[in-house]
Amino acid sequence: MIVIIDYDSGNVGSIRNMLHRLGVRSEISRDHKAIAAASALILPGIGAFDTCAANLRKYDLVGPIAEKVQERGAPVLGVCVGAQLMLEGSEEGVLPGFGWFRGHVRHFKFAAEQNERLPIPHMGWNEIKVQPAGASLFDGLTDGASFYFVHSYHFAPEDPGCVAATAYYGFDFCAAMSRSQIHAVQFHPEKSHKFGMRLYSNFARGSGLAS
Amino acid sequence: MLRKRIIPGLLLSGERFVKTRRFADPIYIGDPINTLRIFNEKEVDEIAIFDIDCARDRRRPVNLAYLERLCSECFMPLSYGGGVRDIETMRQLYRIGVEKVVLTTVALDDPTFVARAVEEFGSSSVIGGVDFSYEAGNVAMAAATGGTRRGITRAIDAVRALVNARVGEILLTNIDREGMAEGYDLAFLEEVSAMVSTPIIIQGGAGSVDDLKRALHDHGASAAAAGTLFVLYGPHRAVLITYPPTRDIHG
Repeated sequence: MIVIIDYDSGNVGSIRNMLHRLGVRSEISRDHKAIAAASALILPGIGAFDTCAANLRKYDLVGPIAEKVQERGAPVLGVCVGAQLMLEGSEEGVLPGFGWFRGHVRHFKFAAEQNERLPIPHMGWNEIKVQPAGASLFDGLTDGASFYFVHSYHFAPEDPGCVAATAYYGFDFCAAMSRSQIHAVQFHPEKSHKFGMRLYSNFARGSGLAS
Repeated sequence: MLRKRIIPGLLLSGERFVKTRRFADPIYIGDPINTLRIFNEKEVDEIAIFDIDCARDRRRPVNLAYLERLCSECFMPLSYGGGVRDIETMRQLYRIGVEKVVLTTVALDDPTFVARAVEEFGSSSVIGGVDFSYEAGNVAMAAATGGTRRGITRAIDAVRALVNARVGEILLTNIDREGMAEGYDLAFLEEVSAMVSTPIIIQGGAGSVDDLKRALHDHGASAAAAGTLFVLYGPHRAVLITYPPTRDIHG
């Protein structure tokens, strides 16, 4: 059973729908017992970094999630702001993240000499380039896979070795991170039809769940 | 690099998809679940659903239960517009799987609401809608309540207010062109895109793939939405669900 963390901050319905389509059992919950019993977690998140971080605290979820992932080694996939929360913090806010990846979340800044006018948020379909750390999460997605992005801030991890995929928007930015069983994707696989199905399927299989 | 988006814009009336012309005379298109399944198979960039009954009738609540069923069929980004005027309804919409909520009438009636919604849910989750028609003096004027209240304020001022409220995108819909398949309002699109850096979705009037390409490649739109082009075919307006292959748009 995958538990999709319910903290009033995510598109939990979309994620459940895609897992359901893949035949993966999931439950939308913020119940501490359900989290403790889960075989894997998905941490969604849309909106402002601090709003999401504050909602995690409001429902007393920081401790149970951290214990599940850090102490018990449960596989976890963060999506969008849920993924940003896996870094140490964000330029968008003041609250700390889980810090499972060293580094922060930065606002998109383009070089002054750049002529092209790039709107923020970065919103729409963009092609990714898979990096060595993304071999398992992006299995079968190395050839021209596109994902749906909506964000104004991007991961800026300190360790280049955790970069699982990049995408280009004025510059190559980190679009996904992986370190052992901890995965973070900036884009929305649950809204990226066949590519997203493959990614969730890879995550479920990597977590020992049938898909 | 980012691909510009082509968005089927679908009109919900009750629990049916319909297509209007100039925001009037709806004809039946099909069962929404089936229609969405077809668009899913075609791997469309994004879908926008507008409940035209809720847009026009203030007392009609957003049909969350039905939208939840529709969301379960959408494995692509989904926007919803129609009758949204409070934070709690927005929260429910995001929860059931809607990515972006379009605020149109409430933006004109309650100037502080959009900024509050952006504060709560983030720019990326809020689309500012401007339905407009050309009124006396040939000025583009914003309309409210599904086009039933016209000439509220200058459309360009409505756009500015949305930009100031920090919406993530602006959806421009020329009511006079809607459903006519005679091309987008490229002049107004250009005026707006020259003025703001917020991504613009153009809607109302697409009759061909060339219309989409012109708006995206030459006139500053980030996304092009169309109804008729994707759900009707030929002079007799027979129902046919289509979607252009990516290579036809992006070369």
